[in-house]
Amino acid sequence: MSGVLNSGQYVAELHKARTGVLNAYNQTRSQKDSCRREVSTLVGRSETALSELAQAILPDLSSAAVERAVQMTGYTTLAATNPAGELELAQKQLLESIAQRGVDIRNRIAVLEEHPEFQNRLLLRAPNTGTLVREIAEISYFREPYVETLRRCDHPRLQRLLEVNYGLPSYSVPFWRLSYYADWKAGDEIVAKFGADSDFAKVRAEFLTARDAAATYDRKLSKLREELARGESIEREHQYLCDETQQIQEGRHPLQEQYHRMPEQFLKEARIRLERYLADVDLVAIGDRLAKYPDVEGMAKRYYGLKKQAEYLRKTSTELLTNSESGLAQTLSRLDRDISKYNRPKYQYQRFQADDLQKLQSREHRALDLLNRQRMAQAAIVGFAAYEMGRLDEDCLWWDVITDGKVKANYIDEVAQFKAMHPEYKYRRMKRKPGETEIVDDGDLELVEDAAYAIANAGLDSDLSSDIS
Amino acid sequence: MLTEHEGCAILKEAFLAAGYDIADNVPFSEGNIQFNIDGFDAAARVGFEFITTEAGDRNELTPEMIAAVEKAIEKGALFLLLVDEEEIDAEDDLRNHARRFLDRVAERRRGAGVSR
Repeated sequence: MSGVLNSGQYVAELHKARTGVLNAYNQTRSQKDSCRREVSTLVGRSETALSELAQAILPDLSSAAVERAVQMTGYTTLAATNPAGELELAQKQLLESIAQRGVDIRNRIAVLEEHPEFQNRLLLRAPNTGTLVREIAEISYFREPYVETLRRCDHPRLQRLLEVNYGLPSYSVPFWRLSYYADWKAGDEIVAKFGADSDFAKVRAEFLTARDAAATYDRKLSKLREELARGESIEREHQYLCDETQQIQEGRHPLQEQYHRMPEQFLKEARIRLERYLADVDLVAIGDRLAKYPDVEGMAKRYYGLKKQAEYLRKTSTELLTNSESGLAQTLSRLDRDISKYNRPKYQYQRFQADDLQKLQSREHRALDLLNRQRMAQAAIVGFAAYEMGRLDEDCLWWDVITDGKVKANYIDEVAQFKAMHPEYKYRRMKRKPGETEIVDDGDLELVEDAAYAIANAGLDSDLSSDIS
Repeated sequence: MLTEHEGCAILKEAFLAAGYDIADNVPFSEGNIQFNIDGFDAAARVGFEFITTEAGDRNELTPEMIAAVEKAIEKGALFLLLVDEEEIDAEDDLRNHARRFLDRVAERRRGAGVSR
């Protein structure tokens, strides 16, 4: 497009540009989400690979296995902590605890069996025939008629009637007060439960006798029930201790089960310590050691490769997508502002250079270009599974191994530094036959400094002053 | 709880049935006793007072005034059934209590040689 545009044409072009930029922005965000999910998957796989690697390095806690693990990894602390020795000591202490528990149980059982409440348990507490049981039943039986009297007297106004001496000569509520009649009514209702020949004075006496008698019986019952409960508690404890003894004799005691689980637990803990060490150490530094154990080295390469895949993929997102996304967001914001501004009548006669719109088009193209680069890098990283092709030494650039030397990424510090320190470096693809390699000619690949490109794109609005025009 | 109107209606019906010529809101002034009685037969000196907050009775009937009324009743110079709205919930209870009060009054009046 060239020439001069009026404000209507210019605003229409801005709308068109906005659609393009918005599309690039949405695609970039969506790609970031996709990348985040892939990173998460890779991290999970690398953790599993690390766990498998630790299992392979330390199959058991024997001295030979620990020694071999130290030789493989250089993790001398493992030998120093002597997990096998720790296990032996802990198991010995637990065996002593079990033996001591057996002694304690026997002593406690002896004490309980000396207790009169245990010795006379049948005499005291046998169902139906025990003296305590019978006594409780008898007292409950004697108590019942009194409780029945109390139940018959039950009335919301009973307590008041007792307090004002209703039914006695000393009752003094005057007849012109309503409470006199309410007392009268309540008294009649209670007396009605005791038959026609009764009156409240008799009922009152009967109630007070029943209340005192029931209270006396309740005190006795309470004491007997406490005695019964105490004896039952001793019996329960005795039974529990006998069961525990049986468990020990049959090897089913929880402490014995713990004893049998200990080797597995100690091995697991030792492997966790080893995992932490392997996660912290640069495997390249122990590559020579691992190379002596090809099966383990293969697993180490797999773990290292997965870790690198996650790390590289995260970097591509940060460097190629995050920066671009913020630049596009700024451009969108400014486009919205300009569209609003130049729609106003005061700009209707203003003229605009069509060349100004070129900048917007090139911004959109650059963003899409970065997006495509990241997608290609992601596809290469995620698709990689040939971990045996990598090496755990300083002359191996895992980025090239993972991308088969086909993707440039100087925006990744590791890659840039490696290239700087190896100016003559050419990626050599390993062939499946041991020792054979193939130099990959990347001369026809476009060498683009992606980092500089991304940074330039991120700041794509920095050259704009107040508006796009 | 019964309202002033409901309570007075029930009491008036019971007192009329017992033969008393009950008038509403009768001004009463004797000695220290000065208030409007809700229902009162001035000739028989028999009536009732239904004490409610709604009617402002608690301002008019102070504890001192009630004590004076009770003293007069005790002497047999006056027969008033004093009903506090807080003490009664059911119409039937109020009706029965009024009937029993009137029986008591009749006994007293007979004992004092007064007919009816």
